[in-house]
Amino acid sequence: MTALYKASPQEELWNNFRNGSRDAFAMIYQEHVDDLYHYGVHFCGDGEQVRDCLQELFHDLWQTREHLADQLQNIRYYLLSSLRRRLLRALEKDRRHRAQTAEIPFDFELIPSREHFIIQDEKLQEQQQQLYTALAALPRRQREAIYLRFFHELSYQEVADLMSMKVDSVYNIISKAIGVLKKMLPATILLLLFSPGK
Amino acid sequence: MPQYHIYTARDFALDEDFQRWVLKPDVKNNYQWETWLREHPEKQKAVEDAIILVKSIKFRDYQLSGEQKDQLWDTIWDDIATDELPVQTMPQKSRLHKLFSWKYAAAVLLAVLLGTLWITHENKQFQALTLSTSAAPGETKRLLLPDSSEVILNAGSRLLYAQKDALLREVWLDGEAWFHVHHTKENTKFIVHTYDRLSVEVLGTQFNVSNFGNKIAVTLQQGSVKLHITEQQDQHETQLYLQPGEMLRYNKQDGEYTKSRTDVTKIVAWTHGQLMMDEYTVADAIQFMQQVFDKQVSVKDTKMLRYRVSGSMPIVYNADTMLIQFEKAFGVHFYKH
Repeated sequence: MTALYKASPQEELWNNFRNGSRDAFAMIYQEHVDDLYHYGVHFCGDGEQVRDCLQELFHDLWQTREHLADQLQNIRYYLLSSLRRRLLRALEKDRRHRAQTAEIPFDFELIPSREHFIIQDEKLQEQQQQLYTALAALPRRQREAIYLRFFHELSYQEVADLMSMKVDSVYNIISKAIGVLKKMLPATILLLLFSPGK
Repeated sequence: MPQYHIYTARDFALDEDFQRWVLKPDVKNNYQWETWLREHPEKQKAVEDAIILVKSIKFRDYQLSGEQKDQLWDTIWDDIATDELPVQTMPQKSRLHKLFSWKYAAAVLLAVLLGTLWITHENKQFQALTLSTSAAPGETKRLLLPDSSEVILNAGSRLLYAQKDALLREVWLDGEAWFHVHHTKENTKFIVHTYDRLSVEVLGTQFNVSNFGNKIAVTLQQGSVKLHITEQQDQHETQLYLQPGEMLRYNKQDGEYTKSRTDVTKIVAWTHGQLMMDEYTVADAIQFMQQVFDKQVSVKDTKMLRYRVSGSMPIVYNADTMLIQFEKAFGVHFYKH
């Protein structure tokens, strides 16, 4: 079951953009701005800060387009990592101004999926609460890795590169989270929730 | 190939291909996994569990509103336009500004401050401003309007800009122009008049207006625009909205109009110096020569007008060169008189 990939239209879009096409630039913006914003707000919890960084990111992207790599595997990855750097820089600066050593407020709060709310059974509700607590107890960095894999669908390798860690560590983090989920979800719910075709 | 037949639910939930199937099912991975499952029915339970596991990972949603998204885009584009457009700013005596940019910046800041004070304190004591410019046949012009809106004016077109009060920006267009209107904090309206019964009203967006001869065409690239069309007989006014990718064609003679979807990239190709030809006829080429270079081309054999080609070519702002390009494209020869 090897996954085959088509030659992506992403590359064409990227090259048009590098050659100065405003339409390609607008398409890149439209395609990615929502996801980037989602990541940014999870990352620092400050929508305004995120918008500032995004403004700077896209501005710089256009101005430096000719110097950007011509072979780009994944635009999304490139933009996410660029935003991450900028947010870190902005937060760092911010912290220096405030002269506090407050931890950077990563969010990446996992929420139980919507289907779980259907469950009325008290015992199951209690278990659901436990699940929620267990996930919330994971360190933020781990939640970020899970988030990048499951929300943005970056590969394990990309998550590792973006967060400067080893692939093995990413795998272990996600394995741990799945383990927590597995323990908390009773077999009955699993059967209840399964819907074929999706 | 991984040894899926010995995988547990947890193993599946950790597998990248499996995750991709659950998160982004498509024809191919659906086929692959369903086929595999038919061959390994004993794994049904483990797979079902794994699906739930992957699906139970959710994150809180944060979204930009449509307006925030447009505004952010405007700001980005604005920054870029400011960087890129010392080409020609509308008040024509701005040559030295580059040399004394700090001075310029300070002056602008002061002017803005004074302007703001003026508007807030004196209310309505707004200094009216009128500017006009035109692009001669055979050239296009990039302009930065005083409100930071960007305009590319096509060959043989005229534009008049007027700001009579603080809450209204107006331009009159004869010919063709592409607009990227700057969205102001005060939500100042920007209206494009066409010297006819149709006008275009926007807040901040990108669109193209072509106003040649008896035809007006408004094409929306991004954001939204509102069109005002006054009926010929009475004072009744029709209001229409365009979605990105839509075009409105208006006929000045009979006031008829139609709305359709169009390929915006083709419509605005001229702003990047490209002519996109889709079933392009000799008649279209003749019209092009007239519009852009003010050159008359005539044919004796009217059958020739219907020769057609598809493709694209660069627009060269030289009538003779352009004519040669057309000759090559259509395989015909034009004689000069």
